[in-house]
Amino acid sequence: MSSAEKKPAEKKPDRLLTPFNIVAAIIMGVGAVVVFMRFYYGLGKTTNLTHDNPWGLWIGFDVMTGVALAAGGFVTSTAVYVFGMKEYKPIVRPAILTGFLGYFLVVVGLMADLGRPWRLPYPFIMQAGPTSAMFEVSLCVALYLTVLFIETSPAALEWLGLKKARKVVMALTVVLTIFGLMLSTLHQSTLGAMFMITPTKLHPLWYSPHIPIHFFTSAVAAGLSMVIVEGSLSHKVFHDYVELSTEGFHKILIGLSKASAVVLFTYFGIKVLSLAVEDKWAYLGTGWGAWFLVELLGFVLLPAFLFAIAHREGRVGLARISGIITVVGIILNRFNVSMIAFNWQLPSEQRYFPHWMEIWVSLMLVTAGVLMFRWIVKRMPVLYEHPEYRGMH
Amino acid sequence: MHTLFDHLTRTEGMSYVVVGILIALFIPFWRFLTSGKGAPAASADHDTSHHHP
Repeated sequence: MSSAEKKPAEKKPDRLLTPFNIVAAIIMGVGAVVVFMRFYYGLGKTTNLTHDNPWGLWIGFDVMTGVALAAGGFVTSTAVYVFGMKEYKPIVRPAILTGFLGYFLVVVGLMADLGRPWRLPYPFIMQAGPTSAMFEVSLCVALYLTVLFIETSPAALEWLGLKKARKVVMALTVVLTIFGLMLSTLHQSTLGAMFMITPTKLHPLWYSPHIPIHFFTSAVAAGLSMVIVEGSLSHKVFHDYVELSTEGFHKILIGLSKASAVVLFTYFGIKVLSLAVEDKWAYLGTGWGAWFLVELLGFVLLPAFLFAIAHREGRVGLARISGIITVVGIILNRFNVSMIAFNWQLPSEQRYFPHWMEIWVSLMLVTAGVLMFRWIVKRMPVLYEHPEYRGMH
Repeated sequence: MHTLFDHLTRTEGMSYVVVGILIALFIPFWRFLTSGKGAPAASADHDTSHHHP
């Protein structure tokens, strides 16, 4: 039997009626109805968005958080192909796939928020506003999604047996990585820059003229942590498809812990320095200050130290816990900036809380991401090297 | 007589102090991070005897 015939998906057919599949089917089915209602009846019937709160969960979670958590692709590919840290190569493909699916779902979520999806190319052809932050985000996300699609394609091309096409794409690896790094640096920071026009709406502790730097630095931490969390889950759930030994994977996690500790400590320093430069110390004594400190100490400084201990003592479990805390912290930060600390001075009855249909659509997008990831890694050489291309990367 | 401090606002002065503290704190943090019993350098050992297609 040739190695190609020993594909796990062929060895052991998947059962269709598993608890996960049933729950996923319910989420996707109800989500499809909600999306239909959104496009048929409009935002008014399906969301709690108002003129005071035009950006809700679909921007705060699907876009702001989704883009940050998808940063693992550019972080790992830059580490391997630009800085030559070849020891992290086994995690590049799953990280890039996660990034690609993440950005794809960002665009899908954005279409639900914006409506009229056929107008998606309008920023590039119909308006003369190339100096706007939103234009830059549109351009960078469109280009980076294309870059991620090309970077993901070798796995699909190997699966399809298209050797010549694969060879062409592989020759572009370094160029694509550098292009992806540039685009990510630009739009991760510009997502923060979009809030620079809101000094009267966003609470001063989160508003900052340096918010683009906050967003970029925290996105790097988010990307690293997401690689740790997603990699650990993949290693457990898709054990039969993973080629890397458990010991080798643990060494990678410990190495990522060191990087995460340094990035989180740097992010903590930048946030504290912003407080000093903008003289915002007085706000720390308020209720909003306490909430800000929960985010900064509990979800930035604490995981920085936990990652440091994990690296120092080689504790893989602690690295995973720190990764989860960091991911939750980044979600909390993006929620604070886009929703919780936004319009903070409005009376409570005018504050925004997402409609259940908004939450359901976001849940549907996450579920769709998991399902697509599972479908791909069970067929294409993402978590293992294709036997015919072993050592050729 | 003018000194350097006459051109420094309270906020700027405080910012320099904070930068100094942060740099001073990073040094012990870095030493703590790197001086353990020796976290193994990351390496991607491929265990070909493991499950793989």
